[in-house]
Amino acid sequence: MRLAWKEIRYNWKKYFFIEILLVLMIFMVMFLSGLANGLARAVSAGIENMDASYFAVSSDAEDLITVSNLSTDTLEQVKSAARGKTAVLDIQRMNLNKEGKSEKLDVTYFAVNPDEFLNPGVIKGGKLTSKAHTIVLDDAFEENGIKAGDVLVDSASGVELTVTGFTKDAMYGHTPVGFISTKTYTDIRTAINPGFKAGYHAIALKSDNLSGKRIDKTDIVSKAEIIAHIPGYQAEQTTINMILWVLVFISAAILGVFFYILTIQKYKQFGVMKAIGMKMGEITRMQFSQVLLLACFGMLCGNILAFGMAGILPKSMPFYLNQMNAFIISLAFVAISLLCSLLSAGKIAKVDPVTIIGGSEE
Amino acid sequence: MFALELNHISKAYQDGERENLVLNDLSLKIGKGEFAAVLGPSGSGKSTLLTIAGMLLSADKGNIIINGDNVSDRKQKEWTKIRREKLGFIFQNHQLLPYLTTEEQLKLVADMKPYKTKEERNKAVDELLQELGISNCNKKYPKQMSGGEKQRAAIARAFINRPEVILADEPTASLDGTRGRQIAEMIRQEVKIRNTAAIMVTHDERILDLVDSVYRLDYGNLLKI
Repeated sequence: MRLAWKEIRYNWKKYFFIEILLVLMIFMVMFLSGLANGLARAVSAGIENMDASYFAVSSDAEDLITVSNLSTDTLEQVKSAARGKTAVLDIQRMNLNKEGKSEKLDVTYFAVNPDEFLNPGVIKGGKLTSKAHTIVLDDAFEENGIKAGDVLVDSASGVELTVTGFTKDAMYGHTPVGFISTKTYTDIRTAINPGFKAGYHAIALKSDNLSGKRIDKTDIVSKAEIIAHIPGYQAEQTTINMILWVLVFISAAILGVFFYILTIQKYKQFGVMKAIGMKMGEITRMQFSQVLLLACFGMLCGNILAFGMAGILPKSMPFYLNQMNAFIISLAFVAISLLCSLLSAGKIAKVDPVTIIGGSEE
Repeated sequence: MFALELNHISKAYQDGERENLVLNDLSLKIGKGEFAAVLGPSGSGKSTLLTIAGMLLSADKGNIIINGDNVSDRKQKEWTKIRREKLGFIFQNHQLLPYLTTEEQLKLVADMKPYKTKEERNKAVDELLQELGISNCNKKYPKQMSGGEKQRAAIARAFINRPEVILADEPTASLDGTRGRQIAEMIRQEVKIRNTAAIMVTHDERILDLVDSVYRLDYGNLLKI
């Protein structure tokens, strides 16, 4: 380790450039992972953060909440059969206007019963109550200058909604969520279409145990499946994860080449070391610890960069670095570096100290 | 008892269709404190002789005895240990590690055959540098030293582990006449102080007055002059 460090210090310019590349590569991978997570959350966080494990949706909905339709009758059946609490949910994408302004703001209404468990916690202002025509917004709306107490107008129906508070991490299908009561929702829908018939999109459940009962035309679906069926979710995730792993492999290949070149450059030194009686193991350990030093330091810098970046990116940017993912990527990165250096260890083993004798001037 | 005995060593290389006999039943005995030179035109097998004596290459026939210990029947795995404990190498171009100071070079090698205490090791390093007249270079990197100083540091590295035999491969070749002679004098000085045996392969005939015995290698045969 000491020897490895001394060499790095002596040739600091060379290693500095290699280090920059290492840092950039891990940063690139982390950044992409942050974007992938951010996109995933922009699509699903609203559902993800719900305190529900299962959802009852109609059988013909193919696990899509927005096209599901459950009657009040079904609700009663589910309620009576379910072990644990239930909560109704309607999801509807709409537009909002600030009072007196024509600029439209995208919103996805999550219509819930304020007395049930889907009523979100707030970070500012007050919780959603059964008071009609009130709304709790995702904090992304704050960037539009909206404050608690402001009045927003539903663009389609003209129904006025008073902002009572803000919740966080509530996104659905790339739009921020606004929580309203089922009653407000019915008012909005009726204002647009007088023939609107009350019903529910889905019923959130804490467990899938319905006391062994099967309810007609209703499926019980896990949260993960609901999320996977949100339009665009899977396609986006597959694409980005594909890019992510391709990048990881390309980085690995580049790293491998770098460490290989580093090894080749020291070919003669290894020969001398062997001739004067250094064991193969000692030389490999030195090379190994050098790569470990470089990789760990690069990983650290990359992490700092990525998390620093996460701190200054605007809220509207779908970027979310999850510590667990960062940890896995960092670990994979160090592991790949070490693996690459193992490949060059084979090269070290082949160095023949005989070449040093005989005055071979290169 | 001799410090180094080479008995009936033969070595052949496959050169295309035919076999090229580089060393032909060669024997050599060098005592403690003896400084021997091996002369020969290039391609005469000087280097091969040195690599075999240096436990870097196996001979086809014959055996090597270092200080009464027959090492030629040892497994190849143990060769590294023999090299680090019993042999010291001086190469044509100093071959110091560029990223270590003179002091660090010596300590690195010294720790492969540890001294009893750190103080003892440091004292040995200082003494050796003093004897070779490069005490002022102890904190210098090879890049900061002259050719002669580098080669002296290389000599110090070869001697630091109290080896039985020193093997020098044209140690004066990369230096001019005066400096080359100084280097040969240094090797002689250390050989005498430490009572070590040394073989120097060279083609520099001007330094032959500094050695105790001279051999000439010709077509695989070694002749004492």
